Amino acid sequence: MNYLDYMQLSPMEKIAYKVKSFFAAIPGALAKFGTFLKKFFIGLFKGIGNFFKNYANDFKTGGISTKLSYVIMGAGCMMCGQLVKGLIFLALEVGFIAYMVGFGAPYMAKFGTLGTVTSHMERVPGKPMPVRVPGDNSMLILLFGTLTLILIVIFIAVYILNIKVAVKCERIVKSGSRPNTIQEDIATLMDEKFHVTLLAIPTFLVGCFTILPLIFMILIAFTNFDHDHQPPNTLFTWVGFGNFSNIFISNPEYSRTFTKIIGWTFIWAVVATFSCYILGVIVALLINTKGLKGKSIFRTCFVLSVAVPQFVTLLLMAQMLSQDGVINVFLHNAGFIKEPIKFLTDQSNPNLARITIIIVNIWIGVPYTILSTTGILLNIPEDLYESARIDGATPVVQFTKITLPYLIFVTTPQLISTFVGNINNFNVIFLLSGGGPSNVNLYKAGETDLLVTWLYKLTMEKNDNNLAAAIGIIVFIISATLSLITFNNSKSAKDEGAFS
Amino acid sequence: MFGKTKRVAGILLASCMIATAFAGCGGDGGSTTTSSSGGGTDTTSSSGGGDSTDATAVSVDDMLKDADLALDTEGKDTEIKLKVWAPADALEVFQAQCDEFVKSFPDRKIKIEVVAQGESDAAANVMNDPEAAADVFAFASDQASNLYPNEFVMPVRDDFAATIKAENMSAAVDVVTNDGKIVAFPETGDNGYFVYYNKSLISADEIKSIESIMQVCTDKKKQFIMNLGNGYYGCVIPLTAGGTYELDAEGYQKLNYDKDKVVKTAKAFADVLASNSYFSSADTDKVLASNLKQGKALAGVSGTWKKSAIQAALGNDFACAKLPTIKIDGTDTDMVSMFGYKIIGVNSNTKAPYTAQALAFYLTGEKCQTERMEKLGWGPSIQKLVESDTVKNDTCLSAVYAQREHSVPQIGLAGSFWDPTGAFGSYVVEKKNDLSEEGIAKAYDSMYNNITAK
Amino acid sequence: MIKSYKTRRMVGMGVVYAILTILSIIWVLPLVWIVMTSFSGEDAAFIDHVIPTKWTFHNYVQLFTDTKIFNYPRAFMNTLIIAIFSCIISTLSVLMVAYTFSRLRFKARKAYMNVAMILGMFPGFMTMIAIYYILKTIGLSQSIVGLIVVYSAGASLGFFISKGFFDTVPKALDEAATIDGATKNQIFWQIILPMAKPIVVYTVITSFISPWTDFIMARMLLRDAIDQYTVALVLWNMTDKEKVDQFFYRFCAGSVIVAIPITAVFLKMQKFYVEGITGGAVKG
Repeated sequence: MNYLDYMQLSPMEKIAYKVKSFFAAIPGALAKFGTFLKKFFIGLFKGIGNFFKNYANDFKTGGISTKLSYVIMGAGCMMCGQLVKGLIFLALEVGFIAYMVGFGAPYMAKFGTLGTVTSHMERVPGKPMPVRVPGDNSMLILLFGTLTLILIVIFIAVYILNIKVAVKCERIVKSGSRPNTIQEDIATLMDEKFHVTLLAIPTFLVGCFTILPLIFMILIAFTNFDHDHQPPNTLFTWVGFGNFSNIFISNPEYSRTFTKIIGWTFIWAVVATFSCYILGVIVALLINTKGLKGKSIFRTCFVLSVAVPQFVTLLLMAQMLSQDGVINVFLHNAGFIKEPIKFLTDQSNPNLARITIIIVNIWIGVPYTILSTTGILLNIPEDLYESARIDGATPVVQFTKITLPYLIFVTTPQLISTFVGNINNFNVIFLLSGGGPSNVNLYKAGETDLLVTWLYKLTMEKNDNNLAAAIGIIVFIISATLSLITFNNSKSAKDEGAFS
Repeated sequence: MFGKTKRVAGILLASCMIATAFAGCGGDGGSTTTSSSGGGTDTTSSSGGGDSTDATAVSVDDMLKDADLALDTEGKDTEIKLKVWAPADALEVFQAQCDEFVKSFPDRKIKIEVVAQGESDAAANVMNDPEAAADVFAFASDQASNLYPNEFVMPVRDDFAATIKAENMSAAVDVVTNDGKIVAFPETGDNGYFVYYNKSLISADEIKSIESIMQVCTDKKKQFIMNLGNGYYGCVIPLTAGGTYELDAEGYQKLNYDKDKVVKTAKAFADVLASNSYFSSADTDKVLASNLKQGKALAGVSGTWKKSAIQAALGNDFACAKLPTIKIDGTDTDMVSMFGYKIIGVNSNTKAPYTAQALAFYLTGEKCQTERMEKLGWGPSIQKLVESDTVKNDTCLSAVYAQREHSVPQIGLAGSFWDPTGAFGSYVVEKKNDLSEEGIAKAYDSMYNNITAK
Repeated sequence: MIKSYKTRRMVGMGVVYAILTILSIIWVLPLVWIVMTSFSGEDAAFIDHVIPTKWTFHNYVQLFTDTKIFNYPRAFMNTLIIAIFSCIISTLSVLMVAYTFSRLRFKARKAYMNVAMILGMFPGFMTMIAIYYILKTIGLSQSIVGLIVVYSAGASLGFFISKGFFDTVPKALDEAATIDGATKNQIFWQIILPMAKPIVVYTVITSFISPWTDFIMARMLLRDAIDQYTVALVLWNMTDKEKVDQFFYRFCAGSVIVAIPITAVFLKMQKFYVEGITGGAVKG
């Protein structure tokens, strides 16, 4: 269905179409994801199979330089004249072995148990006090064990590459020509293989500071790294899916808290996303009214709040809304209230805090919508409005029948990413209410906590890293599912194709 | 230290490998070899912990004179570096005292750095990463239940422990005792709350009972502020009713409350406070100084940590008193508060356990406590100093120690205690709520169940 | 007929002006209030009137001279250093990655982009603890160098917006240059980058601003290293409930000082910012 077909539907049909296409997309997305996984695994196993086949084949058919490369990395390159390249391979092999012997292996050996020797206090006879005898540190074992695993995988890749290069070199030498010199290799990196040059450093950094920590934290979700198991003083160990079953079923306090928080997280994400969106569009339209003077002044007024750092405005709002803050003072002096309103801390009425947060979020979010939709609004074909006016449509009708559907049609992907962003909207909640007002029935959480702020509190205040990690994975699954469905459903997916 | 170099080498290698795997032809070098394995080897686990033998007490002065006794062999060959955490406003005093300590041992190489760190965050920061935390750190007694169980603090030497037991107030000793062993050093005996008031608005006589305070408030249209919605202050209600608390064997909270008495007491609080619009349960830490300064409030409940701000706000009208009495069943009953202590702990992961212990012992000794009392107004924990004239002549400290007579020490508290107690307190002073005895009993049950839930 | 249409239009415009004016006031008021409060000479932090009765410049002076508890000037310099370095590194890496995925075709391209997208969906501070220990291992925890590394390391994952922009630059340009014998390296630096000014400016702005506004990562990594604190951390600590009555006016002053340069840059570069987000998001 293209846009014009879509425009001819009635509003109800439009909503129905949207809902239908959203749900219709789920099986498709899942199927696509399934095929992706299938392809991935088939590819993986085929690759491994091929590797062993080639591994044996190349060894049989290869000459002495190739055969030598199976033991001494880089030998093939060196024997074919690529001295520098060969030396680099060799250095890597030596380095890897040294790393494994000196550093990796001890950690790998304990990876299965995460340590067995508990650190304890011990008194040497005759001394006035016991001193600490260090033991295993489960966390370092997990961290460096993970690092070592990653390095082993990378090393295997390098090893395979070394053989491939050796085979290739040998063929080139056999055919009578000369393999690339190091200068030529470098020149390729600036042209045909420019992507390698450009991606090398970012990949390395992302590997060290995103992928490694992420794998580490995912593994933590399967351990009992909580407030009772704190390295270096105590050990922690693997517990399988224990944390997940605690969150969902077996621990009533956790599951009660989780259900409550996930419910509010979704309500918050829906309301926060749409309130900012719709109000932002209305204000943007008002600013774009034909013949309005001082457009840029109005726009600047709104954009100012985007420009001021968000944490400043949020901390400020939190102070303004406090029991003795300026808003209560103003309302009191103006005679509207007698007692201060506890905007963010009223335990007996947590909805007050929720509504307050949503209103503050509107203050913060609307200018962003204005910024991002102004351009799109100007692109709406003018003839649509003209014909509507000829038919006698009021501005309100024009808005609901033309502007909003058009905008939503164009900006659905953006809307979804805002939605996912709101699920993860840490700053607004943390800086405004800190999750409060407190609720004694919840585990380390307040009435306005989102999953992410709960995760933060569990980590920083309670040291329950295992629960936090498990929640992180759940948040990821939610965000990823939403994004995948919409991404596959959107225009950009058709251009680019995520999993195909 | 060698462990670190090895790790660095490992990371360097890793970087080189990733780059190569990616590029198929990588950067140069990366062949830093590492020394043979050594880290994380097994240690003999024969436990020689044992119980402390009865050692003879040693005074701070004796310790300072005998470097071998105080520091063992530490600092003889290699320099000892210690980090101390103290609150920002006491930084200079602590640094001076630490310098004094270093000077006592001229033949040892010791370097001490004092870093600002609030006492309320210290425990959390120690537990987050003990190795990066301070060797000697100050914390408030409510965090003891987090720090003691997994031995984040190091048990005190037998000879020092004997001195601590002999010199300090008994409640202060209780607070630093875990499983019968002394595990930390009492630093102050003043971490409780009392009434600050403006003596030009209310007299010392009127401040004695809550009924007369509220009467004056109504007459003069000024506030009385007490943050009963916070568990720390809210517990005054059950404690005034004679309640106590402790931890059971598994570490869960046990409450020795008499329900009828607590409900009756809560009703008395509700009767005096809930309907009076000049009572405020705002956060006193935040607003008390401001509101006293502007004359919006005439009195409020807070602790020594707000002394300098409130003294600056009130100037000559500054005055303190113990918590007022409240009429229950016709008799004036003293309000009972929770009373905490500040403690200095030695990080059990410290690299220099002897020096750290000696420093903590020195910092909590008579001389240093006196100095802090005079320079910072911190109340001492040493019995002799508590009875000194300095305390009696200080309006703030005398109020603290007067209130201490009607208090329950802040030990034996689980994390579940605070929020439900605060919720009960805020229920009692909110006039919209059902404040009949039945209504309060219901709120009491909810508090009790939430605190003791397992 | 014409007249009534005109009046109706006039009334309509009047209503629009009124609504916009009221809304503008609502949006600007908190900002005006913080500027006003930063000049307040009141003695108490929480006062019972909205507009201060006494005015002073003292809060600003104190912010820079009374550095015993909160060293604002040092925090400002720290943040400036972090912002400059992480801005350079992240801008370069974002542009490099975006260009690679937009223009270069190679085997693992799609897999790479999918991985990048998936990585972006994990809540960021889930990995804080691990990052802290990795930095500790290489001796960079509790220092601004570590913060620079962390801020710039993850930046390249945010390449999608820039990629969307590069996609709109005509490919014919590259092809023409290739025919003239330019390498990909030369094309990137000499042809594409100059064309992509809006997105460069957008990336520079966003990566320069983020160190000023992040306090979670800074708090996690810096811990007790007070001399390495950033502005956001100092300001956040000032609103701690035990300090706020003493430091509230200085908090306002400090916020104004941070906000002024960022606001100025932002307003000046607003056009690029809008082109950046809409160019990337809509055309993406």
